[in-house]
Amino acid sequence: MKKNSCPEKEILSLYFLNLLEEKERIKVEEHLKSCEICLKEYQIEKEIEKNLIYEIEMPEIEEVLLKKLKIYKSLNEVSIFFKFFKVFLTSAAIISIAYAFYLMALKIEFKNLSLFKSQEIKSILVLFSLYLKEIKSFFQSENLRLFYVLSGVVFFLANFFYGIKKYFLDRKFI
Amino acid sequence: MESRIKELVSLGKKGDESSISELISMHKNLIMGLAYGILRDYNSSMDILQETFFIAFKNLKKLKEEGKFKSWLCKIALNLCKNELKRRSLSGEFQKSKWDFKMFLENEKILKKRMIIEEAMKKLNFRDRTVLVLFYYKGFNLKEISEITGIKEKNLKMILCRARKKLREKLEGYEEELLS
Repeated sequence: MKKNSCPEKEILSLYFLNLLEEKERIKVEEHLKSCEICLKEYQIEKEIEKNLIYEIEMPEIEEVLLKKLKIYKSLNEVSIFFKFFKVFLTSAAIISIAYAFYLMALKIEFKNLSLFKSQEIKSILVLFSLYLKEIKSFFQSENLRLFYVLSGVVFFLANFFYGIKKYFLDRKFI
Repeated sequence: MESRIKELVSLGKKGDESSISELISMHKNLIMGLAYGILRDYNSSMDILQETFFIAFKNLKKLKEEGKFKSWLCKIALNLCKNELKRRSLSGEFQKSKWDFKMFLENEKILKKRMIIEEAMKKLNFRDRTVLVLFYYKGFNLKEISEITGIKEKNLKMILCRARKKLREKLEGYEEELLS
């Protein structure tokens, strides 16, 4: 082994980062005493370390932030009634949309097919109207209609109770 | 110290204002150092400082492990810094921001050294910058850095070495000024 041979670059950089184990660290430290090039590198590294991060004077931001948070909270605080109302609205909207689709399926008919001139569109529309007729017959049986309404009601109730449960859970545990 | 932070966080979840302000004053130096270390711009790092605390206390209820408050804050700040850098690179604003720290310093030698390192840091990419800043900042070991950045601990050593090497390469030619 030569005395003056420098350690590998990776080991040196690990030493600069203070990540080496003790045995190797002692070796490098002994080497630094004798080698000028590595010592210079070490000094540069220390300078970088000193000047990379430094403390900056801080203005006081606590009050401003607290004010911001207060305003945010006052805007976003929602009363209990509004929460229930929200649940009610969503379920009502879903039921009404479903009912509208049901009505559409009953009423739509393509009578004025002569308006469309190209045959491709005509054929597509005819196919579509046939499909709609099938849907109509599917919905016109009364048992199905009952099932449809009932499922809507069940959905509404589930949503409602879920809303209540979530509200109280929010209060207690989190 | 950590148990105190846990107490404060659990108090802050209930909406206690004094504990929130104490948390802010405990962590503001850390976040400011991080943001400034990465962005190298005083004004935008002030903005990021405010925004991180605002986002953090807005979503404080979502934090389930109270011991991880510090690293959680750092994560938020890093994400905001990333967005800021992306915005700058899109709008080409990056070269406009110059050394704002002049007002905090009197010694010209130190100022020159910092300017040189500043220029070198601006040439690094986001990951190298964050890793270097986190590592050289007090109070972060490898485990915490890997927790914040999501890089595995095994790879972190290599990434750190490479980032340091890159920074050293960017500083070539300025050695005498640094050592003076």
